Amino acid sequence: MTVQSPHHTFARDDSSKLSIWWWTTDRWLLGATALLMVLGVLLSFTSSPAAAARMNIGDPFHFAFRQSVFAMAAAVVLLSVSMLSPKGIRRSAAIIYLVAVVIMVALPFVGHSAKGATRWLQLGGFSLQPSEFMKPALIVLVAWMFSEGQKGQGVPGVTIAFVLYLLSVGLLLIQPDIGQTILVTIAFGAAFWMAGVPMHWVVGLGGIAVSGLISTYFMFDHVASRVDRFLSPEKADTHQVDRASEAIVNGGLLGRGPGEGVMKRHVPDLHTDFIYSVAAEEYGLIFSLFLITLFAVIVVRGLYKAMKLSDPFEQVAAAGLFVLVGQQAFINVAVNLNMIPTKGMTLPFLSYGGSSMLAMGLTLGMALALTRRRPGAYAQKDGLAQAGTFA
Amino acid sequence: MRPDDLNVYRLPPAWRWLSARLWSLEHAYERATASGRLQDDARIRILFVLAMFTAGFLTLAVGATHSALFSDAGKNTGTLAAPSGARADLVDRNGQLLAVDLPHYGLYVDSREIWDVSETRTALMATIPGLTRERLDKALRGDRREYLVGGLTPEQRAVVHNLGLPGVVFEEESRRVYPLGSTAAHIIGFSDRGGAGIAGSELALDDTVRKLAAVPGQSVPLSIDLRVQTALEDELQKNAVSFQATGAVGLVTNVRTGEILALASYPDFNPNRPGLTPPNNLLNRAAASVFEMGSIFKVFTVAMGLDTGRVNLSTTFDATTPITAGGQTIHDFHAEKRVMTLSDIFLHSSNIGTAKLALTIGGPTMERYFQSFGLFAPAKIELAETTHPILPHRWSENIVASASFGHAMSVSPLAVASGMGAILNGGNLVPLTIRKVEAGAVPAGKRVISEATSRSMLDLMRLNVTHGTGASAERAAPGLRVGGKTGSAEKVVAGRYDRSKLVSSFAAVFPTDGPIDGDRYFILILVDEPKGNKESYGFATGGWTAAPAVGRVAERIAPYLGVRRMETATDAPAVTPERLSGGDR
Repeated sequence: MTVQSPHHTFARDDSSKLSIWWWTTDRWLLGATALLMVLGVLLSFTSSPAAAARMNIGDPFHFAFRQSVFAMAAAVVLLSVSMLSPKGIRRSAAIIYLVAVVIMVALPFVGHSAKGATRWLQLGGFSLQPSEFMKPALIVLVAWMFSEGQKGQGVPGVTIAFVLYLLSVGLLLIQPDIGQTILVTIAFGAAFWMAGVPMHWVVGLGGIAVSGLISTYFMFDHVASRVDRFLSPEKADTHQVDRASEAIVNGGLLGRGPGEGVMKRHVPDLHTDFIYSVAAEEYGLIFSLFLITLFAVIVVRGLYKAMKLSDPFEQVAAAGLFVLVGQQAFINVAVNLNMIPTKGMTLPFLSYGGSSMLAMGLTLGMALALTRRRPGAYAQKDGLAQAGTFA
Repeated sequence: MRPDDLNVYRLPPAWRWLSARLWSLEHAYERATASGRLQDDARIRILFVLAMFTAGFLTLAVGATHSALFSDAGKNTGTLAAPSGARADLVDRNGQLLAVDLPHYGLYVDSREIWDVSETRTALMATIPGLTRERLDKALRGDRREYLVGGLTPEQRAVVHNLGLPGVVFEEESRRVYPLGSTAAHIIGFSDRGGAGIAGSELALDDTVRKLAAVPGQSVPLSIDLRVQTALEDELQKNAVSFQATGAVGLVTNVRTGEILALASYPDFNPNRPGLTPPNNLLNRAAASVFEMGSIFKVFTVAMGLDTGRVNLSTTFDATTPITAGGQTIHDFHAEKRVMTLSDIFLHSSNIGTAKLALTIGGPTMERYFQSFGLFAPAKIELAETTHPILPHRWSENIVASASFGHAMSVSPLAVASGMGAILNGGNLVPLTIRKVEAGAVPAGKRVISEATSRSMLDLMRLNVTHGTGASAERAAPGLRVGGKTGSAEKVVAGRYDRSKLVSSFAAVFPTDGPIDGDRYFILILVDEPKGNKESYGFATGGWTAAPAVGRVAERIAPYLGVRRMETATDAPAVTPERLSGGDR
């Protein structure tokens, strides 16, 4: 089934793997994701010189270059993962989860510490953050377990899902990484809920989650100080967020212009957690709304597709993965807009960072794979994917 | 329930409860599947999540729009508020500037914004004089914005600003500047970097000065007249240098209003740099030092005598022999050894005669009068420096006799000015003030002697200048109708009066004529430990050191105060050492 002519690569009658992939993958999701990745690379060219100068790195485009490489790698990961079947997704999730857990267990001994936490594994010139990859794998696995549990064939799915979740959270708290813990917890809770947990369980688990958050506040000083800082800004040092607010005001409707931002010279995390503000200052409100819209398109379209799926595992896994992407985008932008307490969190595809970028490629790759049109994947009334069409 | 599930009942109750919950959870799904509505149920739940995210992203869009277009982050709100610690200008009674806030800059270092610590350190060390490395390193190591130095002038700020260092920022701060330097330093005082008054008017009028700082263009007028002040300071300084005095005090007041027109204390200081001044120079000797005043106290004693009505200027006292009161013998410095009238006693400054007058009137009456003259309390004035007198515990005969000519008790020069003001203004004790009194205002006073007594004292002091010990004042200020009284008190050194260490003074008033409730000016010059020189024929007493200076001050300030010179019939007699026998005691 090789392609006869480059001009007809995606011809309708072409049944190559790539062609099938092209005709079955959701274009909206693919387009929005591709656009985000391109914009991430473009933005890295505006943030990289400032970040490189701050860190005394000679090459002003050090970060831009690396970001481009990461983006390309993420694109490859996304494409290859999105070609997998649901079974393949389950298998790779199990492998990735296992590898991530092993690395995370070993982190306290071999890991690389930065900013008071041991989250990274140094590999050559790159530092790998296993927890980023663990997140999508965990969501797929728990969705799988929930659906197995629902079949009532003796698999204690829910129990296994909770064990997997608690193991992940335990390892995250050792690092400690409260941000990832919250992300994992929300996504896990969402998956559990979407899988059809009885409502009185929702109430009970919600109570546990709230008390968990409150005890986090009292157990971890840096979390407490961030919340205090948000609740009473006059007392605390809100340097980065204040600068972000000023930058967004300065950007106004149309922005200061490419490269004209000044906020990036004042904020250490400009190229990672505060890339949104850097973009808003230089390109203005219209561009920021466009970014928000791109994320909204991915999440809403993704959840819509997940909703239409007919297999319970695919439904929950896909929806959980989109929740993972959506909540991270939401929290990051909300922090930049000073709507919630500061939480160091990357903006999917836009923030600088190899692990984050590759893991997002993995996440959306899995989500795209699960939402692809396949025989029987969507309910009849959806009318888009008739059984047998792409067998 | 299957039989193997019965194993559960062998477990402890907590485990049993947990197992039961897990079992029910697992089977909740089964029940849902059995009812065949699982997928639809999941769809509804996913739809709910979708709705939540839609709402979330809409919120973000609204938030982003608000932040970008309607937020006031980083913008100045409203009008520029006066920086904290701002103080209103101080001006003299004619509006001349005495103290002003000028914008200076505080330099802050924000280590979070610094890109290159070593570059910043090197550049700041090279450009900011007086910056210590320790202080800079501490600020550079900090995790927030730290204050480094203050008081940078706009030029200094520009130099640092032009270095283009990230994380080095400036904030406007007001810095008090005294454009006249040491002129009127003691009465103006100074404030600290934080804008709090520390001394002088800056402390005394602190509340007013801070309050008016918020009102643009408002300044606080002091009572002093810069023209009078500079004349007084000049004469005082020359005088103190000429007689090698350890200290000196000069005062000019308006006896009608109690206003301080000039106040000088030697040595002085530069209020722009009070920290570099020896404490001795900071001392306001007019307010915060007390002296045994010597013969100028005879003004109080004679005024008391006249006011009681028991004596008049013609009443005679026998001053032929030294008297002994309470075991102490009182001599006259240049003894007349004769029976003298009260006016002769004043003109010759006879200690024996004054003591006899005081003993005639009696201790209790004298205490009452001295109290009413304000000599037993700190002078009433806004200045915080005004200090308590040192008083005898018991008014024995000895003390009464000594106090009558200015020994046995020490008061501040301001207290003398306040008490004598009452004697010379028609008899009302008016509190002294450093605030300008508006023209025409009649300050509330307390009557302490009769108007007639006041008139007599003015005449007597005038007579003392034309025919008595104060003649050198008349020679320096002819036609200005200066009246006055000399004083020279031996200082107590190690418990004994030391004849070589004097406090020499001249208390004067001019013009002595005119309406009793008119503007009249009191001048006091006091020289601490003067050493006689050629000019004074070696004498260090008040008549030779302070009186000529007072005359010169009157001569210089009369034009500004509107006192006209008059041709007087009385030509001042030539002053010779033979005539005065070295001044008075």
